[in-house]
Amino acid sequence: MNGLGCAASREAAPELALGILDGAERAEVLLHLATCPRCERYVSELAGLADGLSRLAPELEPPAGFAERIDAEIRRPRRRTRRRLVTAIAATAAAATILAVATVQIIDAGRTPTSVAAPALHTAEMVGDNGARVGHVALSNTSPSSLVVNVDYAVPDGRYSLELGQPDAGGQRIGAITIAGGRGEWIGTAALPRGPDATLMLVNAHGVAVCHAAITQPQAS
Amino acid sequence: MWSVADDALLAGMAAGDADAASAFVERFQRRVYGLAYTIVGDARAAEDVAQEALLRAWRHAGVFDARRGSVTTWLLTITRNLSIDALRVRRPVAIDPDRVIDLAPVAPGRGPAEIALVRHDVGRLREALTGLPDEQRRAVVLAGVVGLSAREVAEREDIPIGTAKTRIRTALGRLRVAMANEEPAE
Repeated sequence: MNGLGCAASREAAPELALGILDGAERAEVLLHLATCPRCERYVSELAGLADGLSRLAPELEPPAGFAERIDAEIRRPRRRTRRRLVTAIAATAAAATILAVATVQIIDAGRTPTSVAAPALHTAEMVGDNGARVGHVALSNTSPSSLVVNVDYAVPDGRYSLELGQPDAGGQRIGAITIAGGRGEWIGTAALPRGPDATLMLVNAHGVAVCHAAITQPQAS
Repeated sequence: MWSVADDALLAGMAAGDADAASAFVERFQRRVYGLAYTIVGDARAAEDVAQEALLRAWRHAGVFDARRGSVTTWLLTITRNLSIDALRVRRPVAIDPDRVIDLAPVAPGRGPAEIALVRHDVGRLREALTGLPDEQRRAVVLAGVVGLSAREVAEREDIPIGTAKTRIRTALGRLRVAMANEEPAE
């Protein structure tokens, strides 16, 4: 798999901005954007339009008692609650297409644009403790490697440390990812450890790895 | 209370202020429920989605980053994602893409600046959208609001996937041009 250039990225930009581009194609475009400020601005502009589309939905009065029920929930002492639909959502989302938030979240403030390259990509599934797929990782064959981490299922909302290493031995922090609305994305660079067994983990505030991906440094092109 | 900015309400929620959360729910419930209902097309499911979206906003107000968009955008993104997930449980649902551009007037109870901004931008976007050819408008609404992939748009519209992609791409490109051309010269 080769990285995309400006023309191909711009062709895919509308689908990325609308949040309907998935999998490896999405990762390829994101990696291109990480190196191309012009395309990044273009996608941001489209993402703004895409966000505006959601505002076009009519405002509707919810059923009687709606706000009161939420209010009661808010004022109740914190505990884990799950409504029936959310359970159904979780059961089904495993098979769902990767849908990512099409907002300017693709712009990571910490990134520094570098030269435009066409890196080969390697993708790996991110899996949770029970082996269920919770997202994916795409990484380039460059050194340091460019990474796109996409989580779209079963990871509780919150902020997680991204660490490279081994689940049992701990890892080296390479950044932090925020999961909001069940989804999160991180784009950045990292020097991958030598050897075939590198693992990328999302680690919660208690130091527990909630999911991981076994990654292999792609062959340099 | 209504003069409090969205960001300030969210900051209050992040600090655990239940009154701020109540005001937040009151302010956004119609918009959140409206979007959820527009996508899932079922009152009970929309209520579940809207409730979960607002509760997530309450629980995770602290992770909101104003540099990445407005509170409305953040909240509607959560709502849209939950709605799309719910829709995948319930597919197929008959969705009329034109239903989502049947704009209601801006609801009361919002700050004057927000009302002006929403009226201006949403009005312009709606106008630009209605100016698109029917097939392009349907494609971009199904993709952008309902969250259908290009393949799903193709299946729903009974067209080749390449045609669906072209319609989506062309529609968004035209919206971009239309919005850029209508920028007020100030």
